[in-house]
Amino acid sequence: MTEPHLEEFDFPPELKAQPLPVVGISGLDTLNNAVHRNVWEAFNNIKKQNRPLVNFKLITPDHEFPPRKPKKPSYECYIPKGILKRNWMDKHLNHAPAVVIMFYDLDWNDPQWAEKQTECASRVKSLKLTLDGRHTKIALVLIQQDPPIPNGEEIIGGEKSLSLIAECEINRNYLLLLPYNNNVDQMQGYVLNLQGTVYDMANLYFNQLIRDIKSHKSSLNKTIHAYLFIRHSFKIGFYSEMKAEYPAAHKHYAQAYYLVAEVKRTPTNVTEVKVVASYIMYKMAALSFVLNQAREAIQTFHGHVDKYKFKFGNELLLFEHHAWLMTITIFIITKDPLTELPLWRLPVSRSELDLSTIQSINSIFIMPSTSDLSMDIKHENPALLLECCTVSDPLQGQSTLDYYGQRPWRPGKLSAEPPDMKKEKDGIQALQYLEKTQVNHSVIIIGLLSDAIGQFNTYRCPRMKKYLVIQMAEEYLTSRDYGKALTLMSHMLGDYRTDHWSRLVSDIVKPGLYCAMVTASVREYLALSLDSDNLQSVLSNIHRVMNNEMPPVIQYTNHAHNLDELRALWAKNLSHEDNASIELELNPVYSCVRVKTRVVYEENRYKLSVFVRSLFLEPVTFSTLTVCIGHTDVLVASNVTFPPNLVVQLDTEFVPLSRHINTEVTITSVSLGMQTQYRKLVLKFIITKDPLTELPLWRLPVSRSELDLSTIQSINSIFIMPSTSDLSMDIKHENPALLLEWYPITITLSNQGSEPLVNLSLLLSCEDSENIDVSEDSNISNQTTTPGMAKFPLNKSLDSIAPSETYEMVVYVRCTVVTVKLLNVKVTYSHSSEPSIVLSKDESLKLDIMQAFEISASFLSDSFEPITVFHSNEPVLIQPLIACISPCTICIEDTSISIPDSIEMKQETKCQLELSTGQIVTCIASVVIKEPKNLCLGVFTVKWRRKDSSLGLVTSCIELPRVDVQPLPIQLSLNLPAHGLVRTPMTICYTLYNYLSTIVTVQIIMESSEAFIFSGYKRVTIKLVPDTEQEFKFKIYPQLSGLVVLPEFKINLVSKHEGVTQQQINDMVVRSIPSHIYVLPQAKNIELQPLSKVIAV
Amino acid sequence: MAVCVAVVSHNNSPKYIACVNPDNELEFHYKVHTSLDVIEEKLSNTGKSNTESREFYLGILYSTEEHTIYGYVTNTKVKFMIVTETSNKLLRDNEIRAMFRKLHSAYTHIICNPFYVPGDDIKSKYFEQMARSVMVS
Repeated sequence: MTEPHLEEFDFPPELKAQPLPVVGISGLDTLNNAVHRNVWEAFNNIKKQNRPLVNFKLITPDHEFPPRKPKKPSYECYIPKGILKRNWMDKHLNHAPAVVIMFYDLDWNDPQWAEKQTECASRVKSLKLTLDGRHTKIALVLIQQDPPIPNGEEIIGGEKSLSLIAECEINRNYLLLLPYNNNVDQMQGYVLNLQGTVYDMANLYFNQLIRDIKSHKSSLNKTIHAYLFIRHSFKIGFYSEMKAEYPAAHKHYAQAYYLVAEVKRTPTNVTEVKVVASYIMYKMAALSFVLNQAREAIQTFHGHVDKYKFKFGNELLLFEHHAWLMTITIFIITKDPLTELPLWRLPVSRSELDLSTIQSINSIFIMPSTSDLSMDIKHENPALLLECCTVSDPLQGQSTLDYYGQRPWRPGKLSAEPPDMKKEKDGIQALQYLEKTQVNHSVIIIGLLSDAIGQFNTYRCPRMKKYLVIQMAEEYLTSRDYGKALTLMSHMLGDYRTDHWSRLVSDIVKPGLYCAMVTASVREYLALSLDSDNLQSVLSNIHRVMNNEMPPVIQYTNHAHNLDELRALWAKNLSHEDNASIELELNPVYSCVRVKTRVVYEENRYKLSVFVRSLFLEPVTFSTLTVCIGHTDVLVASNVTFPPNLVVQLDTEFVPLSRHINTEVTITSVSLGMQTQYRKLVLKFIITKDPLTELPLWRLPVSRSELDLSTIQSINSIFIMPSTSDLSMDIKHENPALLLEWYPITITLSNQGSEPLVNLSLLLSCEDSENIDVSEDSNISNQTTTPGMAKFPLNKSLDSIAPSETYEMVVYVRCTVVTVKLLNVKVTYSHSSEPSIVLSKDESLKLDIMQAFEISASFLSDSFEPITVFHSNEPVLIQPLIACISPCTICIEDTSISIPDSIEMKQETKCQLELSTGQIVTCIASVVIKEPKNLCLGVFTVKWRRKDSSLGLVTSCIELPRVDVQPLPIQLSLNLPAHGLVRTPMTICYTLYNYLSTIVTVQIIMESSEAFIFSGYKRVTIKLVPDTEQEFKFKIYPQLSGLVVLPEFKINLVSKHEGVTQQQINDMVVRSIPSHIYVLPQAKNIELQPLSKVIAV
Repeated sequence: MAVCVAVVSHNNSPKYIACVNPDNELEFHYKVHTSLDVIEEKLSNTGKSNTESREFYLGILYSTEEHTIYGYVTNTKVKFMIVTETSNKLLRDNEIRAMFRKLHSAYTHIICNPFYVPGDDIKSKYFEQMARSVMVS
């Protein structure tokens, strides 16, 4: 669809484009020459990677540059026909190059240097010829391929280059080199350098142009040349923008804008002034955004709108003025696909803007309120329109006019000339005709609205967005897209309703209802009817729909509808199976039926009350009333009729289910069902905790005979407690439990009520069921796995307990670590009269697990000395100590030490006694370790029970420590009588045993002693054969009595011997033989008698 | 001077909206409703700093070519809004402030009434009178 007159107000692409100097690239044959193609690509690449400084254009050899206008001899008699020329910006953006780069393939060492130099020079000259009269700069770039790539700076000063410059007649600085490389990326650096040079050249070019313009200034006359002043300022601004001197550009644009405002407006030039002013304003605002002054840009825009708001010119074309206002308004919010520039992108995140800027942005959208304007366009337009413009279209050639903003029927005319009335009239009529016939306002408006909605969404203005959505819906309605309008309206309705903006709700309901009626949307029609405040007809309309009848036609717009078609549509939709059952969600406080609920616990019953107040003007009957509480539906009443405006209370009992016990149940909804043979309608009132409906504490009690809904405090949730009164549970046990024992717990259930309890189930559970076993078997022994053993949780069910009967059960638990365990006992049961109600009772008990006794072990030598070093083949005494730490007396039935094979048990004593707290008992075992190695001395086992327990024995084991056993190379033992008598000879026998596998030579010395006279070897050297023993017998004759030191027996190694050291032998001697003997005095006959008496005592 | 006066509760539901010309009532409802966006924005910005010393008067919420909307929020987040005509350039900031203060004291007055339930729509003759005086003066 063409929109000729709107197009005029739209910003032309050349205005929106970012101005970049045009740089012509000539001499590249991209079609046939691969090298040239790559060079051209490298230039194109700049655009992708960096922000380009210039706009490269490929120029073919036969390119024609825009002709230069003949210079005006004098401005004095020149009268401008318009302000801005339509083709001027385009010319500088695309066609008139600031710089032309001439590419030429030439290496310094080219064999045909002379010929090529001449050819190159001739090309440059012909280029100069075509550009004759322009200030366009020319640069010559030599594409060089030969390695080594020379460094450009040094070579340019060379002889060859100088001759080239001279022949081409170009500036010495404008000869450049481009070392060619196949890799486009590597060439990038050279290309960027080149761009920089070219950019500087372009700046010179524009400086020249600006100077030219400024030179005209003196010859201009303010009265005649007002337009030229504007044009020149604009041009300077534009050139400055080309040079990327944005502040300067902004300054000149601002000057131009100021000059436009000065122009005297007449009906003939008002459009032109307006258009040009807004173009300049666009430039200014765009630059402000570039300069990061978003606020300034918005101010510029505001000021502009304020200034031109009421300058509408011809009354008949008021719509055009509004269109213009609208276009400049939306330019900020629409994203133009042509200009993917960063210019108009508003800062994305909110934090980038300070508050006032947000507000101004808000006000941009709100201020001219786009849709208002566009609606004006529509309504403004008089109905009288015309079938004119038949013969010759006065609008022909509108888009090809020389100047922006002029009327096609009056091109290039001066404002001072009196208008041709006939032409003027035709033109206006033609515009009106176009506006009427060819422009679909709704589409434009909806497009604008959706853009605005997008913006408000970004800036998080939910309410403004909603408002625009409503406007959009109304626009859809106007354009007869009832379905879309209805969808939008019903979506927004909910939000307005939750915030209680009833006035707005009722405003939306009316068109909504109309849309639903026209589109025969059954569900939406019913929903909107219930929201309507026209209560008179609501009920009858609903009844009609329920009975498959079409509701009455509503008139909202002047749109004409075919009644028969509507009827057919309704009939079709009413019989659709989707509409057979409809559920609508309603607010319990703000709907045509108001609902409150209470659930209370009274007299062992949960009482559920529903209060309903119908606002309909007639009595209304519902087939069902159900309440959803705790995810179960409770039918409160069926076939209930509510009189108008009276509160009806309906009570029922809520019977909690087992899953409700110990939870808080909440009423989530109340459903009112209405049913006819055709369809089922459910009004579902969602009960929520709405702070608005929560009554303040100080609300006055109103004493009225009838119920008032507002005074009823709703109670929507209740905690369901388990009923426990009839069953008592008693748990007996004797804390603490001892480690490893089977610990009995007695649970006694007794029925204290008057009726039997049935379906009992007892659950014994433990949160941490590691290391704990449970059993019901009283014969359970201490074995680790027995058939009677179970794991937690233990479940036991029981059929019934008669009144005043008890049931007792004993469970045994065994814990294998010292800890604290928490056991839970839970009994669920029900009364025989109401088996469906499950009641429960639970209790928990704490078990402290502790050890019965502590066992430690000590080790003694043959002579009962504590030892730390163990030697093989020497007897060791193991002495375990059992210290009772249990609070109750325990009986030790048996103890035993089990030893590994490498230890020989000589003798063992066992314990069998009672121990109370703090008592210690010991037993002993004599063992000989046969092999020198690291080994465990065995396991000590105690079998015990509690003194008063009848259960089996508990076996506790403790592992004796590991020890390192040292080897014993040579063993010495002494056979000595228990005591000696003074002056009575006796025989002692030393025995040496060699455990080594080699012969050991030792010297035996028996030192002399004062206390004894002895006979035998005093000093002898012998060989000890492996695994044999050798005896040394001595007859000793004690001289003194008392505890006497024996003569010292020494064993010396004669030579060094592997496996045995002298130190080892000395230690062994000290350890293995006694050093003293008790010598009794000689018995004297007279004294013998009393002595024997003493001994007898 | 004002063309519309509105009171909006702390949870953003309207409590009182009156305007000079009843024909425009709907328009003002929408305007007041959309201004809540700006109020919330302003409150969320100042909320971070010291709430106690916050000024009640929020200034211009926004202005369209026809109307200018001013906002005022009490400590309990009750919002007052006054809509004036943008063309009325004579109105000064001080006068707007005075209007708000007047409304605030009138609101306090009706809140003190033991028969008024906080949260209900305002249907008070006294308040009506005060609101009218703001609009007419």
